[in-house]
Amino acid sequence: MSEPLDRVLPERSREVSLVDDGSLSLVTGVGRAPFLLNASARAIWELCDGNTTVGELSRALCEVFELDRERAIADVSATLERFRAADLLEPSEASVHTSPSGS
Amino acid sequence: MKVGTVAHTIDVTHVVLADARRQVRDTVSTLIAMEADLYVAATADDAVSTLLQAQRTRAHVVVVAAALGGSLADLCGDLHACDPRSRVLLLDDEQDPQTLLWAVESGVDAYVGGIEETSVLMEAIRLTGRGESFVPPAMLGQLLRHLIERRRAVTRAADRLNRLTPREREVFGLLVEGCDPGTVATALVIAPETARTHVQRVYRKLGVRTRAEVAELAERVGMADPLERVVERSIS
Repeated sequence: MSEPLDRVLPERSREVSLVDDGSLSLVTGVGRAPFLLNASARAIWELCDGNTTVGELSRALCEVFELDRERAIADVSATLERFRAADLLEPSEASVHTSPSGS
Repeated sequence: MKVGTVAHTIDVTHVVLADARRQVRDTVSTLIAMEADLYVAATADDAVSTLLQAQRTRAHVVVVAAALGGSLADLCGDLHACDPRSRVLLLDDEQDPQTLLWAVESGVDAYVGGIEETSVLMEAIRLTGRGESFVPPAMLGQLLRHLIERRRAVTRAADRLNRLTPREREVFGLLVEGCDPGTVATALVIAPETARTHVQRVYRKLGVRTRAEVAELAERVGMADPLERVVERSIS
């Protein structure tokens, strides 16, 4: 099994969309309860493109917010788990393959 | 019946405001002064006076206008060198992703684009004064993507450099310094034809076509400085 840092972020489900009115960000879809995103969750959501790794994203968060690396990785992982629990992501095994760009 | 007052203690964040435009300085100063927990300790109209005022007042937050001019990275470096606790907020006229990226790369702690939403600026100053960072929520995703893409470009460039032989690295260093193949031949005491061959190999391995592109690649991986290239050579 690949290291978590190499794990590629999953893709956003094609059955949901982001609604953003400037003050609130919601992920909605037919038959789904709206899922409210805070600022960091919204940014992680945008990067759930199936091409970015947990390592890359956490490193970028560290650069912007001067976070501890382990804290950034934990926050990203926790957010992804919430996305999965709310069925917001495409089901795939893609989350375990290594990105060619490395992390 | 006695009536008394209870004294409240408010932590006041001291601010130095730097903007070359007097009217903007006055406007923003007035807005900040209306907040009970914020205080404009000084204003400045260029980088030098910003640094002097920050040192003199020991301000918690230095609000620097994007229009101030000069090297933001140098100013941030100087401010942090004088006082590691000093926090810098870049105030832009409007939200601009490229300016935000430049701000983060320069070492800025917070960014606010536009002063129309006064409450956003004031809250950003407070957060910055508490040691936190602030980026407009709607801009964070794009900023992270830019940072990730930049790092990937650096990695690709470094991978290409790793393919160079030791001699080719010497040639690379001379090209970065602006040497043409003739100068490379003289510097390395080799035949001009040999120098041209090395130069072409370097170009091919790096995937570039001109000396300007070589210099750009060196800049990307942080090897534009001759000292960095010397250190790199001594390590490899």
